[in-house]
Order: sequence, then structure tokens, then C-alpha cells
Amino acid sequence: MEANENRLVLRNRNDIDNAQELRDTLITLVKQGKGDVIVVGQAVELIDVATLQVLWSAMKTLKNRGRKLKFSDISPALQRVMEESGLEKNENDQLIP
Amino acid sequence: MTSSLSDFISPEEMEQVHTDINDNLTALEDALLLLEKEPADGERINTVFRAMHSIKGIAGMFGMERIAEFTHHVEDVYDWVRKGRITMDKELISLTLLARDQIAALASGNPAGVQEEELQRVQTAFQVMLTPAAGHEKQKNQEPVGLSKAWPTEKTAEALYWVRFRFDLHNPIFACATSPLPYLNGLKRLGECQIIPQFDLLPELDDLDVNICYLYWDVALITDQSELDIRSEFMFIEEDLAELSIKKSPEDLAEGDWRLGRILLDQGVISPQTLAETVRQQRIGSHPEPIGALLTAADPGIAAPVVTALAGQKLVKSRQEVSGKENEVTSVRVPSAKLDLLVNQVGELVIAQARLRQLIVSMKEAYALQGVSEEITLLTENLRDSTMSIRMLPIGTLFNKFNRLVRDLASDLQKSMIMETSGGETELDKTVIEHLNDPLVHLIRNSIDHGIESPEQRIAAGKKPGGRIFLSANHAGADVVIRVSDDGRGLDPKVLRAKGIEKGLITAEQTLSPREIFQLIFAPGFSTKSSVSNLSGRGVGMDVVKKHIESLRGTLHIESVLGEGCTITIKLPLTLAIIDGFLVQTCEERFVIPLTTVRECVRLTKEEIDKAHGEQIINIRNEIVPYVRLRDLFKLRGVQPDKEQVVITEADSQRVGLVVDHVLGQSQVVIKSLGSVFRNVPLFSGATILGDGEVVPILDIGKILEQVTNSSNDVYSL
Repeated sequence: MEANENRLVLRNRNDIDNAQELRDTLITLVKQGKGDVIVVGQAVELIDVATLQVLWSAMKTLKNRGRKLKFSDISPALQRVMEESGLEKNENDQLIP
Repeated sequence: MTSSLSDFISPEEMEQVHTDINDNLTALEDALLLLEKEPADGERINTVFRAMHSIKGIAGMFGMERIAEFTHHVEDVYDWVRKGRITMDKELISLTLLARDQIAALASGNPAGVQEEELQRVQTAFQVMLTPAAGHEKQKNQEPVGLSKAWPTEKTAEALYWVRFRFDLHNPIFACATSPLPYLNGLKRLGECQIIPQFDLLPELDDLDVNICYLYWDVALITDQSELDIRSEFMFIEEDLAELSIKKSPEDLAEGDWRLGRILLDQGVISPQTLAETVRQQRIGSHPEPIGALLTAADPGIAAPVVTALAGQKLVKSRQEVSGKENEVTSVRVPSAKLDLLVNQVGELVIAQARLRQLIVSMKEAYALQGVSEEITLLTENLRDSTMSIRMLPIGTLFNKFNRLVRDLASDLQKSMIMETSGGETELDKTVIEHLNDPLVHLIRNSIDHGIESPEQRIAAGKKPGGRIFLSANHAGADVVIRVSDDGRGLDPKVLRAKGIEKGLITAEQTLSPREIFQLIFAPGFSTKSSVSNLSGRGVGMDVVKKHIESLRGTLHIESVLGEGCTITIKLPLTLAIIDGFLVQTCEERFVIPLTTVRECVRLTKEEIDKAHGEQIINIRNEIVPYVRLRDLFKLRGVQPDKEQVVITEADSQRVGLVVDHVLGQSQVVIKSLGSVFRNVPLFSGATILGDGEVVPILDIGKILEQVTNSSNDVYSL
């Protein structure tokens, strides 16, 4: 994934193999950045629940700091897995925009 | 101080609560009586469980703690019965019927009706069943797991299941390429579901081990598959990798209580006290907040279960909306008082419409108004019929109540018998059904006590040891005919006659037909029983029964064959309020004859009178029909016209002609009571107000027929 100050662009393939890397990147964004974090999912062709769990952990971490994790350009593959796992809503039962 | 909802419920709402409890008690009793015949009927067992569950919920929610506590134990026992851990048998059914009676006594709110010792005994009996040492529990059937189980199992009725599955936090399942998605998709294949992921165990990034699945899922699933089928979706992970919890909701999908508080109560997330307090808070606020918000605010720890419950509720409601479009709502509860008011108002409308028609008829050249009048007449008749039909209930609702009576009485008297019914779908006016309960109870008691013999006596008589009581109902014109029959010893005319002579009701010289002898049992104090039992024999029953039926404008007749049984036939009008009447006039007086009794109208010619040689009879197509002149019957003064009309009427399969001066036509009439002054005038069943405001009596054809048949010389002056 690519990350600038507040944007994180997901790769086309996201699974347990790169989940640790994603976690580390998100930790950096949380600690060094300010404001909300935007996760761009346009390129996602494959993603698993392990990756989504990392993203939701980031969402929780940011929320506890008064910040948000948002999604943009959700690919069909990303949308499908989120729906299958019930994760198309965030932990406050709000639909992921 | 613990408050309950009952502190904040209006009397009308509490009445509704009692109605709901009683409805469940009725369903419970019906199911239990059917289970006596088929103890393995799973659907009936479920009905018993659901009824107990509903009563517990209603009672708990509205502060009836004693009922809630009592039914809780019964519900638990029936949960075990459903799961096959306790056997359904006659003893359990009898105990549950006793429990039903105790709940009814508690719900009645009458402390005098509650037998505390009996209550405690029954409750203890249920509690004992739930202890392993009781011996009621069958060998626990281990559910097959893994690949050895049978697949698929039988389908059941659709129900909502709450499924929770959570991976073991000590097991790095993601590293093993295990994913929750196949299991979630597997559940989706079983039915409709709402998937609710739970995040409370998910740590922040710093503490996150990416190989462990911290997320877990609650799923609300509507399916017709069994719990075993659901569990089998997880067969590869349940034992080693995941915890699985499956709980079936006891609430019926279509008719259950799916309020959020109820769901959370069922799941054990909140207590009845917590719910009661929360509802109280909701009611005192000027802008009521949702129950879920209030509960979560009070205890943030239940936020996740609340979200899950809401998801399940949403799922059920969407299902109900779909079903509702296919099967429209079939009934609405209406308080009886409102229904009675509506009927009264329709009655007044009918009278006003009759007056309008009369006025228009008297107006010359009122052609336009006549059209409107006819239209109003038609609309009024339709409204009348619709309103009357609202009051109609199937008599089966009454018949079903007697199953328990027959069962208990047979047991008390150590007799064996069954009760069969037919025509339960026959509808009667609600008021008539309510008034029929006591007479029918007495007739059934009489059949069981007097009529049906003991098994030994029946065998000696060449009969089957078990007796039979048969209740039937059917329409006959504008009447309903109800019959109570038994195959017992029947009535002995000789014994009845002797008793009648002893009581001074008849003389030894009198000759009576069997039918007339049977009617003797309706005399006050008449009983041929040599001893008085709790059931009957005091001789105060049958005359009261007859008066009761007559107060409903009905008739009562007995037929019997000695040694074979007895049949009591009750004939009642369908409705007590509005009828179609046939208006006639003699001299200056007008009378209404119920149209349902009118068969035809013929002219009384001089030729017919001469042929009869002084007898008041007329030949109608070779049938000899007696007649009576209303002017003679009521001693009316006036010139007798040359041409008279004979209205041929029929009651109890017998005909009598009523000779009148003029036939005025048909009219809807609203039946008004004669009031206390004229209540005992036997030939009138009521009165009505005609369109011109005149009060006119309604003739009781049955009584007139009796009069004519008995050739009484009594006349009645108006």
C-alpha cells in the first residue's frame, strides 16, 4: 500500500501475507499524522478478513484519539468481502461511506 | 421501592393484559387435551411451551411476579420435553392442567381464588422434574458431531435462531488460512440472516496480533433447518478452533412478541426488573427515547447485544411485512362495549330509515325521494348485516371449552367417555354464545351424571365401556340448532311419569305422549335422582336451563330412547337485535311476525271455512293446518272483514295459520325488550317501533303454536 500523510492506498492483493505490513503502516499514520485517515480501495481485487480486521483495529485506534478512518473508492471486491463479513458497517453500526 | 409497569398501566391496558394471558391459557389447555390423545405431537408440545413462555413474558413485563415465577418452572420443564429430555405422559399433562388452573387463579386478581398450598405443590412438582435425581430425564442423547452425523435432518417450522461464533483467541487461525467467510456464507444458505460483527475484543493496532481473529459474529438467522443443521455448518471448526452458541428464539415469527425488551429478556441479557424500570423511565420522559438507547446508556456493556437484538428484530419485521402482503391481517380486537354501541346505533338507524320510508310513501309525487329512500334502505340493510356479522362468533370456541369439563367430570366419576363435536364453525351472536355457556355446562353435566353409565354397566348392556357425548350445531333458516346427545341409559318415561304424579305436576289419569312426559323434567324441583351429588340431582337445573334458553328467545326439546341415549335440542335465533318482520293488521292493531317463521300467505275463503265444518283448519295442498284468528287470540274488537288473510307460519316443524285482516308487508324491525311490565306476556317475544313511531308487538310463533296445539281457551286482551 502507498501512504502519504493521511491517505493509504490498498494494493490489489491484501491478505494475511501483508497484513503485518499494513498494520505497521497504519501505526505510523496514526502516530505521525493528524486528522482522519483515508483508505483508498480502488485497486483491491483480493482482500481477506485478516486485512479488514487490521483496518477495523485502525478505525478503533483512531476513534479513541478523536479521529476517523474513512474509505474511499471502494472496489467491488472490497465491497463484497465487507458485506459478506458484515463489516460494511463500522463498529457504531454506521454504513461505511 | 421496586416499581413495575402495572403502576403505570391504565385499567383498559391491564384488561388487555388479562385477555392476552387468558388467550394463552385457552391455547394451552386445548393443546394439553389434544396431547392426551397424542403425547408425541411435537407441534402441540411447542404450543404448550410457547403459551407458557408468553404468559411468563407478559406477567414479568407487567409486574405479575408470582405468575412469572410460577410459569418459569413449567416453561423449563416443557423446554426439556421439547428437547426429549423429559417424557410427555398423562401425569405431566394432568399436572400442567393444574398449573393452568393456578395461573388462571393468579391472573384473575382475586386472592380468594388462589389456593396457596396447591400452588406451591404444583410448583414444587415442576421444580423436582428439573433435578437429575427426579428420574424424569431421559438418557441425554449426545448430538452427533463431526462426520458421523446424519445429513440433512428433517425440516421444522421456520424460526429465528441467534447464532454466535467466535474463534479461539489462542489460535492463530489466519496464519492457518482459516477464514470466517465460508461459515458466514454457509449460514446465509440456510435462510435469511443479519450478520452482526462484534468489535469489543478487537484491540488497538499496537496490541493487534494479525494472525488472531478477534472479531466474532452474532447472526440472527431465520431458517426452517434444525439446530443440528446449523451446527453442522461449523463441524470442521467447532471442536478445536471456535466456540459456537446456537439459541432458538421461542417466539413465533408471525405472532410472537418481537419488541426489543422482549428479545433481550429471552436472551437473558436483561432482567424483568431492569426492563420494567427502563420502560418506566421511557414513559415519564417528554420525548421518549428508544428502549435500546436507554438500556445502553444505563449499561454500556450491553450495547453489543442490543445491536444484535435490533438486527434480529429488523429481520423478523421484514419477514412479517413480506408475509403480511401475502396474508392480510385477519383480525382486530374490539372491546365488546364498542360493538354493542355500534349495534345499538345501527338499530336506531334502521328505525329512522323505516320512518323515512313511511313518510315518503305518504307523500305524493315524491318520486325522487323514493329512489333515495330505496337506496338508503339497501344501505341500511347491508350495514345491518355487516354489523350483525361482526358480532358473530363460531360456536366452536364454546365447544372447545367443554373438553376439559368432560375430561375432569369423567375422571371424578370414574367413567370413561369422549366428547365429539360437529358444526363448530357455525356462527352465533356473541351475546348468545356467552349466555349459552351455563346451560350447556348443565346439560353436559347431566349427561355425564345421569346419562352415561359406568363402564361395567355399559358392558353389561352390551355397549362399549366408554360413553360418548356429542355436541353439534347447524344453521336452520334464521335459527341455529344445537344438540347435546349422549349414548347413555336414556330417559325412562315410566319413571318420569311417576315422578310427575308424585310432584303433582300431572294426574294419574292424564295421558301424555313421550315428548310431553320428557318436558316434565323442566319443571322446577323435578329430579329423579335419589341422591344429590356435587354435579346434579338438586332439581334446580333443567328449569333454569329452559328459562335461560327462553330468555334468548330459544326453545328446548328432548328426545330419548330408553337404553340408547338422550338428545336435547336447542333452537336459537341467530341474532337478538334486528330481524326482518312481516307486518300484519287486525282491527286497529298491528303485529310483527318474524319473517323467518312465515311460509306463505293465503286467502281464507268462505268455501274453506264451510269445508272445515266449524273447525279452525285450512287445507294447504292436502296438508291440514290449524289456524287462529288474532282478533280471537287477543280479544280485539272490530268488524271482521269478508276477506281475511291467513299467514301460514312454522315453528319446531309444526305449522299454524294466523288469520289477520290485512297484510301490510315486510320491514326490518329492531327488537326492543318488552320491559318488566310486559315481560310475562307469553305470546310476544318483544316489540318494535315502526316508522310512524307506533310501538308494535312481535309475535312469538312458538308460543302461539303451543297455545293452538293445547287448544287452550285462554285469550289475552291487549
